[in-house]
Amino acid sequence: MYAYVIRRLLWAIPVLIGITFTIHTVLSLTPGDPVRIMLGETATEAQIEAARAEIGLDRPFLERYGFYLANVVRGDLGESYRNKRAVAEEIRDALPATAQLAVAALVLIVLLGIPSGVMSAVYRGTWLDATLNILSLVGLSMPVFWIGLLLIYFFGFTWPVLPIGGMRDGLASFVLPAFTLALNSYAMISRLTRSEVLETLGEDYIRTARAKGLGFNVVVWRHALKASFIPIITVIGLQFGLLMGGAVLTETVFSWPGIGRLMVDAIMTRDLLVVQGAVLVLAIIFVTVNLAVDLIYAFLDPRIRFA
Amino acid sequence: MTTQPARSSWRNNRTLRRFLRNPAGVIGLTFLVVVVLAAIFAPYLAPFDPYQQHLPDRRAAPGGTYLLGADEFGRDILSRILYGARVALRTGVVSTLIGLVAGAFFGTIAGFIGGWIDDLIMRVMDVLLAFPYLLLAIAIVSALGPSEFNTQLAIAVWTLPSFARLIRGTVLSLREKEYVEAAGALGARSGGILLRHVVPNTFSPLLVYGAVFTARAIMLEAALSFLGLGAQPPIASWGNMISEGRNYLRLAPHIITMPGIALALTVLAVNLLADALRDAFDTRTNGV
Repeated sequence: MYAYVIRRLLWAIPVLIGITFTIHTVLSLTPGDPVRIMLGETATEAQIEAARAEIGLDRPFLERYGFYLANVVRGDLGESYRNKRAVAEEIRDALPATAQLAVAALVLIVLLGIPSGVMSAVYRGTWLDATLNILSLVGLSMPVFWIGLLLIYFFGFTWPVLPIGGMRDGLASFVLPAFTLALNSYAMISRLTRSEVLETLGEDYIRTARAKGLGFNVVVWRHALKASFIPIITVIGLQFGLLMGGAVLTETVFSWPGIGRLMVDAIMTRDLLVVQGAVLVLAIIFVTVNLAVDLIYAFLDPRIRFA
Repeated sequence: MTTQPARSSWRNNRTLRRFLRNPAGVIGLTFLVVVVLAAIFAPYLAPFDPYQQHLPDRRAAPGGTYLLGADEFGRDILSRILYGARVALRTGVVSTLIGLVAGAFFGTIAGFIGGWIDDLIMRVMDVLLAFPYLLLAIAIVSALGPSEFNTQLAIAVWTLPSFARLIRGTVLSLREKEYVEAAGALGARSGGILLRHVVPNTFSPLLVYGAVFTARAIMLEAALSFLGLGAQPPIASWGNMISEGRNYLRLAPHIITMPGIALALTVLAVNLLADALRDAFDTRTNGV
């Protein structure tokens, strides 16, 4: 077990380095001179040269990457040129709102997605299965930002019962954004649960359990669902990372003060260091969650850690 | 996953019959054909010039002169949706194709050669997969600057690792198959084996994945356009239209509703098609 955990932890290091390298490469692809964009058109050549030297833009690519990596390791993501605040600080302020929204959406996904997948599998081939299937396909095909706007229209304007922006109204302000964010992932989890449960229901031991007289519900909810849990947990873990990314759209629509909106605001003002910092932090969270899921997985299923 | 040699017409006919028996897939395909035709013939079908502003008719409600209403500049929404279909389909197909070809290239090399080359390629793919949905695309487009091609490129980079993994897995499982080994034993060169026996067998999973990712690419393009990182206004793209209509949500909800419906139905059609293809080919692509 320990060997597996250590191997898996060590594995994350090259991936994280790869992420910083990718982000650095992408940043250096920016056409035009970032310093000129940053300082505006009124800057003199001397000012531009000084700023370039200060940021280290006059150095070769790999050397700049070394600087960047060293700074990232120290937690220094640079400075936002909009308001001169440290990027790391801006992200730290915005992160809790995003995390809360993602957790709220995750709760919805689990509470709605797993039961509807199980029902779909149990009533395979009936109208209930067909309806749930179509619902999840529709959920998968709806653009997140569009659904968010429609919800705002219906529950904010036509029938104004829910807050439609910001997070000042406590739990109520979570309802629409969390539902919007959850929609796509709900569909995925429901479809996955259906196929996993269907597969397990065909296994010999399930037939044995039924044959020895166990009730159908007990077999489904206790045996079949339990056996399907590992793939479902993995995908839910992956969803958490996707949710952090999907939050960009949801937060934009609902003016949610999270990291996604921070990023979009930064895109609009071409505040590239904030964009790159936010992407980096979200990617690191994604990798960490996946790592945690893998470790839980190994804990639940001994076949993996001894393989 | 298919493991038999691909060029058996008997099998293909069975696949086709299975596909045709699935009403959802046929509906999806039919709708998609309609969208493709609408996009191709947009200049003939559109009742107005999609860029022509009719300021007195700003935010005109659906019905009357403007079948689906007019937007905040009095531009005809139906015409803009028809032209927007071009952007959506172009991006969906172009970015998926770039990702597919590049992914197939790297995946085949990794799976067939193995060793440290396989390790290296797959680690790079792991890194690309480590970026959450949308974020890598946002980073790329915000660095390169927003344009339709940069959007397509960014989406392609995001699809690439999934295709590479899929192809590598298929190639690895095929390498062990008797008929591939037999070809090797009979003296066929590895390049020949690859082309004659391995590549054709990757077609059906590629087709299913291709459909799935086309749906996602269309959605991602709309999302990037919505964020201002796709095709730039005044170009009519569905994401742009929704983004521009946001400010008039209370007064004129039809400005966002109509392009949203077009987008959702198109993505749904591609998803239905992908589902039906998956069932017809009997391909297991869980979690995609």
